[in-house]
Amino acid sequence: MKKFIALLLALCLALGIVSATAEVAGTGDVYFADPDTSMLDQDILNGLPRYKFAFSYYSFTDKLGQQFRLCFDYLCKAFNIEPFFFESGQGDEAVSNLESVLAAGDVDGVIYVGGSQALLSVCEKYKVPFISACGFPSAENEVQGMAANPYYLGGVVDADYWAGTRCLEVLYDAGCRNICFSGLTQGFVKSHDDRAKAMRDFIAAHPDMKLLADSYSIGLAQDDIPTFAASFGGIMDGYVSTASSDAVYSALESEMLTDGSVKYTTVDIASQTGVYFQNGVQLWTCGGQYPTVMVAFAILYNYVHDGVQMIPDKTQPLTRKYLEITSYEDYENYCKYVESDIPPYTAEEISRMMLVFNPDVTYADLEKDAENYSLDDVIKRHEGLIK
Amino acid sequence: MSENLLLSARGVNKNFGATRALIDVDVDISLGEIRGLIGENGSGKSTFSSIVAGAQKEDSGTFILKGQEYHPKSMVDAQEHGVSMIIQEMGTISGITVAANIFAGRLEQFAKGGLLSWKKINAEADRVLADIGAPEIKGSMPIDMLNFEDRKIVEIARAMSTNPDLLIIDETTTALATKGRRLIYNLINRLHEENKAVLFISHDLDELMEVCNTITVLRDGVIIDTLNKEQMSIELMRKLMVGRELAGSYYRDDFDGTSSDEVVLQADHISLRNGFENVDVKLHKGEILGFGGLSDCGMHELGKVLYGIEKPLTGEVNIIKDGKKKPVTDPVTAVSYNMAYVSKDRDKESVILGASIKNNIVLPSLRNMKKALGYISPRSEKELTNKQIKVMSIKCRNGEQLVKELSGGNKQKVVFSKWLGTTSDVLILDCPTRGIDVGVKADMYKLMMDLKRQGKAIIMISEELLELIGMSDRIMLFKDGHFTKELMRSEELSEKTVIEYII
Amino acid sequence: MADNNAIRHNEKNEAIQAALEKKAARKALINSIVPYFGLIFIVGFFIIVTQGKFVSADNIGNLINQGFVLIMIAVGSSFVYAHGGMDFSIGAVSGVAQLVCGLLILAGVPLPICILACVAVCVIGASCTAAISLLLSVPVFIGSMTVRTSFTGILKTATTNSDISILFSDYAFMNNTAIKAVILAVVISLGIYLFNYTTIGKYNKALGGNMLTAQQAGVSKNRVIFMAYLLMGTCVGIASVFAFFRAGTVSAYSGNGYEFNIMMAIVLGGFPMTGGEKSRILSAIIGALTVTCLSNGLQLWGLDALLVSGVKGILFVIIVALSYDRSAGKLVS
Repeated sequence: MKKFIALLLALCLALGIVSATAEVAGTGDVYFADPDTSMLDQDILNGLPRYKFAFSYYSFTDKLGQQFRLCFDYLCKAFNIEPFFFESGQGDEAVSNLESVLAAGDVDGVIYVGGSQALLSVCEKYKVPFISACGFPSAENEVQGMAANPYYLGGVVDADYWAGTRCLEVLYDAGCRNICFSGLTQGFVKSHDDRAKAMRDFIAAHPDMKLLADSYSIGLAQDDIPTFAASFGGIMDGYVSTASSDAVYSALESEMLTDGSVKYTTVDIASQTGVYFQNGVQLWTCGGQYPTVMVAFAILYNYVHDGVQMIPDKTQPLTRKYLEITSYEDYENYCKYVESDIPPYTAEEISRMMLVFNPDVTYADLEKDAENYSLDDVIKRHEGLIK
Repeated sequence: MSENLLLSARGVNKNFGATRALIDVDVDISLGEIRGLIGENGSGKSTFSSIVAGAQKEDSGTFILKGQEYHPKSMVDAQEHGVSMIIQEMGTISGITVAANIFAGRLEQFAKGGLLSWKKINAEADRVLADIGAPEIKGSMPIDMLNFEDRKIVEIARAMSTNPDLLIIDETTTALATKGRRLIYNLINRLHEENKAVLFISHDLDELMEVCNTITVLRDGVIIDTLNKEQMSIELMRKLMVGRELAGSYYRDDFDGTSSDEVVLQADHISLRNGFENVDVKLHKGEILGFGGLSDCGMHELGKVLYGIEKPLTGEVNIIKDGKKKPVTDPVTAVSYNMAYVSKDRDKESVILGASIKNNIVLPSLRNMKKALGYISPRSEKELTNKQIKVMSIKCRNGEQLVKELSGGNKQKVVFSKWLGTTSDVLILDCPTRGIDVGVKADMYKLMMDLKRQGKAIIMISEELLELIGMSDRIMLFKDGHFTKELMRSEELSEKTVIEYII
Repeated sequence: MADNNAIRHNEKNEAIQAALEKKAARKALINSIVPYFGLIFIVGFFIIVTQGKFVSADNIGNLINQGFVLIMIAVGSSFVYAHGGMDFSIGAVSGVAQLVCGLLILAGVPLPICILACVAVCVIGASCTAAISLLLSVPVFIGSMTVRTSFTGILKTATTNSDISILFSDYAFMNNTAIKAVILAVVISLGIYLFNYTTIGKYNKALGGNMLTAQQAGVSKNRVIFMAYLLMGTCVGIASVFAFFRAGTVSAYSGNGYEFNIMMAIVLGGFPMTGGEKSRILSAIIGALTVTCLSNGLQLWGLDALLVSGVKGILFVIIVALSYDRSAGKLVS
């Protein structure tokens, strides 16, 4: 019996390692080329000290985690930063993880998807600056408490609430009134929670629109679709999911929801997205949130290197729009300009947000960039770079 | 080496961890000899026979069989050299036929071109079974159809199918009724006439005296003596097995079955599930009350009810203390009224095998050993344990040894120690001497008499009639779930009289 | 004819017997220090790879803070695991307890009452698990899963719209390392006392060793088992209080995984999963400490996220191999 257990443990372990490496190897469709820093001031570039920045997310084996990792690696390569990735953990475990990481003594700054007062108090103990990216606390006490902490630099987030609202808005404008909704398990990832909240608020504000069913599970939408189809087939005319993947499209197809009677909006882009814009089922989606992390990087760098805290009111995060995709043409442009080996902001473009290269940059500039950020903006900036 | 010698063992040693099971054992078995092997549990007799039969390997020593060096690699290998063994426990493989059991491990001889001819195998099995005197069992029958005794006969067939020169019978007869026993006795006679040999291990000294020409006594892994037919006597064999004189009589030497009028335990109108109806039991102070019957007559369940382990369908059980009736509803209350219960399933219900002797012994006494704030001092635990080890002569390293390492008799001593340590007044003992050696048995009977003289009350449930007749002041007999007869202690009481009330 | 060799070789036999007994005694001694092997290995390993930082004053303080919850739960859980029970619900129950604590604090209820309420919720949760199993005579696994799903539901519903947060800086004293160390020491001492020197621990071990024998010896199964769950609930409650103040916030994932961490701790410490005689409260505590050191050391070492699981697994297997009691024969009966 003992031998069997030992063998089982060893097997699970081996499988775990194999799947982890497989995930890393098959990083999906995006892979950035090395950053081109030739246009930067080479004296400044070569004089950049070697810092170590830590990046934390709940897991780096899921798609978003991989994308965060790519962006971060890209910038670290450009600006002589040693990257370090660690998984966040939940509750008091998160505090413990951050504590142990910082106790090593060589981390100069932390970019964290999320944030809490407890985490900040750890940063205060070890005197390490902390910036939130793609995750911002919802509780008022947290926001106030964190803002009061000198080591907190503020947050940079995606406009998740806006994205959620847009999902419902587009369906409403298309005439859909009976909606089914798939969200992620609540409390797990803030961005999904915000999108879901936006959906609920929209439904509440529009009495003629009805929410037939909503589901919050870790398995993502593809498991909900058969149930929705079975229960509401014929009645449902609109479907929203807070995340998307090819599995969702397959499920839609299996349940024969692709005849146009049901319209679909979501956040995220998968390889079948284009097809579904073409056949008219999908009306809206958005993506391209990589730059949020990159901007956070710049803001952190400005503090670590130049001692400047750029965000004036730390209770208000810098909110960046997603790239909207409303048609097949948008989708094609997205694939060409965003899902390429050049990230939506190049190293050179990020360097313009960094005081060391651009001493005149202000928070207002960052806000303008955020406001302008759209598919057209990316196309305009990278027209010459993409072949 | 004499041509008469079949098997010669020299200097055989076997250890299990710290226990030396066999120490420099020398044994000679001649052709035509029916050799009995006796000894208490832990004496080494089963170890020796299992080594000869190929089930275990010796640590050192030599065996010479029919003039050749003999080192069997397995039981099948031993069987092919002419040594077969039948054992006490279930030795057949479930789920297959009788014939497959008989030829298990040796089916290649029936293979033709890779295919087995079951017709041939079954025919051969039928022949062997008829040969040993059991023609009603056929090779094609599924083994699970047969009862325990017939399955044992299949094992005998398996052992005999290779025409062994040496047949080892390891405590097999104790589990068999008349049909099986007769079959074995016939076999033994036949083997004797064919000038083959038998090594016969049994606890039944009468049986051995009848069947064997010589008997070897083992004690603590060492050969003590070998007796020939003239020297054999029950007392001598018991003495050699135990190593000391068993002073006085084995059971009791008095025939006074009277006891106090004071009732200490009373059960009224007890009914149980299996048709057991309306039984009243009155136990008096200083009395040994025996319950007798066959194993499914319901007396074991009655014992459990009297202790509160099981609830009866009707009726109630009460302890009488200071004239007041106090109901016994579960073991917790029973223990609080100074009752004790020794189960017949020793390993499953009377001891914690994985725990130390100490933790077993102190368990019921703990509630009385509490000091301030519930503190139980390890020293008082150790004192209680050591006292009991001494009083009961428990053979062990120390109180920390795990009970599972002890022999059956010593385990039972731990069980008794447990209850003696709490000064129980009413003891319910279910098969208290089952699977225990002669020497320990005698000690137990003496202990029971001591308790009786101290005014304790004992209910002894036993399937061994001699024991019941020998020890009880009063016997209640049960048959098929109801009470049949109450008998008082008397010199004239015999097994014959008792048997008719239980069968 | 007497085949009697005993007298001839008497002295030699006694010498052999003595040698065999000495070997057995030495084996018993080794087995008693075996739970420490895993801990010693992991501490040594991390001292080396972090160049001593692992045992710096700062990190020892961190270890106390990080291990507090698990060690506290280990003390209480020892009683439950000793009788062969288990509880899959402690994480969910802890989450709800933290929720209650947080809500009460936000409502302005005085701190001592909030703390008591938090402990009370955990005791109630544990009692439910015990009660369902004992009264309905179902395996405790079912009772605990029932409690788990209900409490998880409560927690998820309450945190749907937002987490529950307090003003962290107001409660810094609840995170004081020295206070936690003292509380831990007191609870550990009390736990050791109850487990080793009173009937509470002894009866639980007896039930784990052989439930029938213990019952026939007068041990009240229901009372003893219930008491074990009460003790565990109390310890989980105290742990939850400090977990809450350490995180400062309650989310749907508060308390997540506690039941698996405690099982890991028990396995690493060499505490038998089915309880019984070989249960030692110190094994559970050492195991909890080992788990804490494992997590702390891996992060302190600076190992990249993708490697952490793999390395954790390897170290886990090594520790199990070292701290597993061979004489018991089985990891899981």
